[in-house]
Amino acid sequence: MEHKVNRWIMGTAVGIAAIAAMIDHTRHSLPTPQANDIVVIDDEADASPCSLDVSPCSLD
Amino acid sequence: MSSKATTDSPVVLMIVAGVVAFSLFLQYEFALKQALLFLIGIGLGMTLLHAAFGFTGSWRVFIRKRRGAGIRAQILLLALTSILFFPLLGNAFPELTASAALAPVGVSVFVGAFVFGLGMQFGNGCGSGTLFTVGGGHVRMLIVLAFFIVGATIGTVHLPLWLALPNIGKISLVTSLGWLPALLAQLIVLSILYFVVRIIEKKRHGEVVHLKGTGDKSFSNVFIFGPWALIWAVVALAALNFATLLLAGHPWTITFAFGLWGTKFWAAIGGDISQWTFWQAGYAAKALNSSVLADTTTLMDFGIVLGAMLAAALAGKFAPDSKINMADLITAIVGGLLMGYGARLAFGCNIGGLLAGISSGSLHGWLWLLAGFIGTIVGVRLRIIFKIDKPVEV
Repeated sequence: MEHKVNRWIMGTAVGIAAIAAMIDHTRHSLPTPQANDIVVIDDEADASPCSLDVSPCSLD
Repeated sequence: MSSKATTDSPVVLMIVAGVVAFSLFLQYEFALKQALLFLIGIGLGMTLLHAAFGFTGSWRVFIRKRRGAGIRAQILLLALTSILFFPLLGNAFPELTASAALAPVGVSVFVGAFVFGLGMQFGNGCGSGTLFTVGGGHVRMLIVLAFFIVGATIGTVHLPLWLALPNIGKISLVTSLGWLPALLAQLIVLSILYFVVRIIEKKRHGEVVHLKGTGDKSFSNVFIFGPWALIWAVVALAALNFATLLLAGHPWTITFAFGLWGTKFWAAIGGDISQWTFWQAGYAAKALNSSVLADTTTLMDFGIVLGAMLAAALAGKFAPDSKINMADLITAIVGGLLMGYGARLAFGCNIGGLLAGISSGSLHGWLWLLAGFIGTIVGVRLRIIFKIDKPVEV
């Protein structure tokens, strides 16, 4: 019984995580954001989690 | 009973279908690189679960029982990963570029790693351990993960304050000594550690547990259904970590994504993150303002969970029976919070701080090891005081 309940809990958790990720992905994929909401990202800036300005490396 | 007989086929089929679909989606939406990093995560998750390769239990067993197989495997992993990383990071191959996991050696790393080491004894899982046990279907570890995310998010808010405390800056052994002398020096130190652990184990027990494992099952049977010998995991984890370095341009990391998820969630429900300076520059700003699926650590974390889920289902171990009492709940919350906060202060968990740090030749990785182990010793004592463990190990 516990085994079945745990399977349902895990399945629900994975489902919620997948939906949350897709919502976030969709929000960032919208083609025409409002002008005052645009965030300028410098694509030339540091391109890995190991190169942050405040904590230059191992941002794990 | 054979391993195949216990395989959880419906779960296996669902995960395989999900992995194929998600990989194709990533390739379509982003690039092949994103899909490959996700698949590397799958490999890491399968490896971790099949070999039960964790830091929390192995450190505790060494401290309490003087059994050192797990720690010796971790030392071998550090050595093998260093052999793969040092030449690349030392520009022995100029056509290949990658970032080392360098961080300032100071109070922030020491306190963070200490807190992490303490927290992982309450949470009963480290950074990688939490992910692969969640994948294994352990419901309590879902609670640990949730509060790991909360702790990591709070850590990103406080990190600038901690970075203002004394430190001696970033120290790269590869840069300071050259990659070959640095590698040789590091291998000597790791060899000494390996034999010290082995001597301690042999002195207590008269023999040592071998890393190769034993069993009469065929290679293919063990490879698919587990359990793997620790030495298999050492080789697989080092190879997959190296593949991550080549593809992503940085070593395998885990907990950056936790802070990212927490901050995105906080912002999504209307929380104000405008004063959180951690997220205002460099990679962090870029990650926050992009799809969560564009972040390599997120993809690999997803992969680890699903890979572990697949391995657990293949082995017939997925979602084992377990009841969560009040003590489990409290230790899960406290452990998760401490690990999340500590990992942020220490520039990573046992993977991004310890493994990536040492394998990159960064001195902060060694400080992480020292402080994390001291924190673990305290955590093991506290487990006895709070009656989670018995005072005397039989």
